[in-house]
Amino acid sequence: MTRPTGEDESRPAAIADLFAAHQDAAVRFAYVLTGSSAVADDVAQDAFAQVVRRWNDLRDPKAYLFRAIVSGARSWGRRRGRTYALDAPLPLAVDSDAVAVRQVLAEVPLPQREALVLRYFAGLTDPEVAAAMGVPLGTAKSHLRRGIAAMRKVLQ
Amino acid sequence: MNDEIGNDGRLDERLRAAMHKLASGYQPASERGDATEPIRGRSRRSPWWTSVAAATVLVVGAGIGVVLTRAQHNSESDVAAEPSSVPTSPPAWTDRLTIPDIDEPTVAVRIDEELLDEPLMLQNPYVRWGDSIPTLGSLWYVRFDGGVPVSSIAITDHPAWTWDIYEQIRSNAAPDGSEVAAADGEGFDTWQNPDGTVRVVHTVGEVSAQLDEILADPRATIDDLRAAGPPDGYVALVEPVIVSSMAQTTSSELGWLAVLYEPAADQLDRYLATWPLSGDVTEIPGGWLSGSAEDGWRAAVAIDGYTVRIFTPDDVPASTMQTIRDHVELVPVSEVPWASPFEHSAVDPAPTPVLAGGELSIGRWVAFDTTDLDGRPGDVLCQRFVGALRGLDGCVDDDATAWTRCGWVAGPYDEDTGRYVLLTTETFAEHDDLAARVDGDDADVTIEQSGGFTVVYATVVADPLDHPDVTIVDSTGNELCP
Repeated sequence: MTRPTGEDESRPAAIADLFAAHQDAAVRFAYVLTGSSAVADDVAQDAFAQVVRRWNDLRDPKAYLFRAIVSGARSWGRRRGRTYALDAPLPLAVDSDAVAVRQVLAEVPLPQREALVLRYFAGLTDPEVAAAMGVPLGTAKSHLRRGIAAMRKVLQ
Repeated sequence: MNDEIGNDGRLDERLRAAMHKLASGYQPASERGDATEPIRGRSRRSPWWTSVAAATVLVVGAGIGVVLTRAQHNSESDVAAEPSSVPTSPPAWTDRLTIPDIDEPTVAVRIDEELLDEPLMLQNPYVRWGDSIPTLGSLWYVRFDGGVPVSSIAITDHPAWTWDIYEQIRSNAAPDGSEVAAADGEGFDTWQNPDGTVRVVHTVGEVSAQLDEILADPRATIDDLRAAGPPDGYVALVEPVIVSSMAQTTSSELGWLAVLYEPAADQLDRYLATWPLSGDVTEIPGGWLSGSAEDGWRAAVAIDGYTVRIFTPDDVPASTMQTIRDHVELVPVSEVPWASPFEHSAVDPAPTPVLAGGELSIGRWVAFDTTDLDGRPGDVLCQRFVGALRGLDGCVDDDATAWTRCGWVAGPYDEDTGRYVLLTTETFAEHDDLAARVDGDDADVTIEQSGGFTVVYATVVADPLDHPDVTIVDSTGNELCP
């Protein structure tokens, strides 16, 4: 997504479009990242707020949105001393793969979780993952490699 | 580049499917009743989308950009920063002091994301010489046009950067295997040095022939590039420079430290909450000065053994380079009557940006308050180490890479020494036998207590990417939490 440029009157509509198009994905992304619906609500809200605040400065609001969610989830984890909530019940429809994946997400270091969720839930490319995490591409790939290795152990 | 990370198609598909099934576990607030867990001490509130929608409507209605319902956010920390009178001259005592000259240009550069050809998402749009910029590298040279940066050159030899460049080199290797110049089409140019190391240069905009000539020499190292200086038209981002936010820089020649706030940068509003930006330049116990300018740079600082800088311009525009020299008075702290900053372990009155400073084995250091960030007063926002480990400094903010454990604040991992630095505002006088463990194993640590702070230097053998679990324990093995 590329934001319109030089058209102030189009901005509110564009923000609304962004919100409508990505609100569900954003909160679910935050949920997978944190494991908590309540935290996901707050993190996603803050992320949208940041997008709106910085709208004029953003070339790619969608990318910034996910970046802000990652940052917000980090901040939540830092404040709480934990980065993942395993207290929420899983839906009945979840299968064994999802249970195993959730357990790994809860156990791997935060950067690896971020990379995995950005890659496999948000569907970002490696460079996009790196941008969303605010790290060099090589670092993001390193996180991905380690995270996937952890996943492979439980999914084999 | 599609390497082994993504080659296991079946695993990839299972991961995707599993995560999307996990996502189905999300419960909107309306379905989960009272289960909402407040963050930052917030009370429960309406479903988040109503706030965002309302904010969007607000934007639509007002036709202005950013007036989100910030009152919902952390209102206890949103201390208004209301500039009052603008200090237009240094305090009177500076008349008695010698003001040294600065030979090097002092510049602050704001790099707009729009300037660059990729979304950088800079945490801090102000950069300084050698700053590492996500997806770009380390910035060394900038070209200006009418005060606006129009082109930049970033250079890095960091392994993390060369990781995927090697792949390109292999695919673009010269027949004799010697010099390789590879470009990935995104502004990256790569050279392989004779010793096998790889040098990556990222340029935004044009590069002069002068730099091309330097870069074309396969024997040239990054040090050579630095020594050669900027090509024609470029400004080397030499130290000392000023950056916004919790900026700190030092000069081995002059030895000064500065902190600067630029209120127009929207990202800094969180810091404004804790910085006492009001009134004329005033002395703060601890050897610091603080002040405000109505429209421009803010703040003034001091540090023992260094010099004092006072910023009082009123015409510093954002997004442009500024020569600070014209707006700055430099004062040797040794000549400042009240200069004994490190005798103070705490600062009063609150709110204060500075918690303490001290002399440690790594040099001088100072720490800042972070009351607004997590609601707990007395934490450390920024730690600055000046001296032997100049590079080991950093801020702990919502976007920083530093991490915390049990209330300790950890600084950036220092690749040169393999050390983390952990800092807490607490002292453990009753625990003279503090020890540290990394991932459960005894760690090589040095613990110092100074100025009301405890600083732990933990040498971390593990891969820092794993975020090793560092704990501080007493002689009985019990973990100590500030």
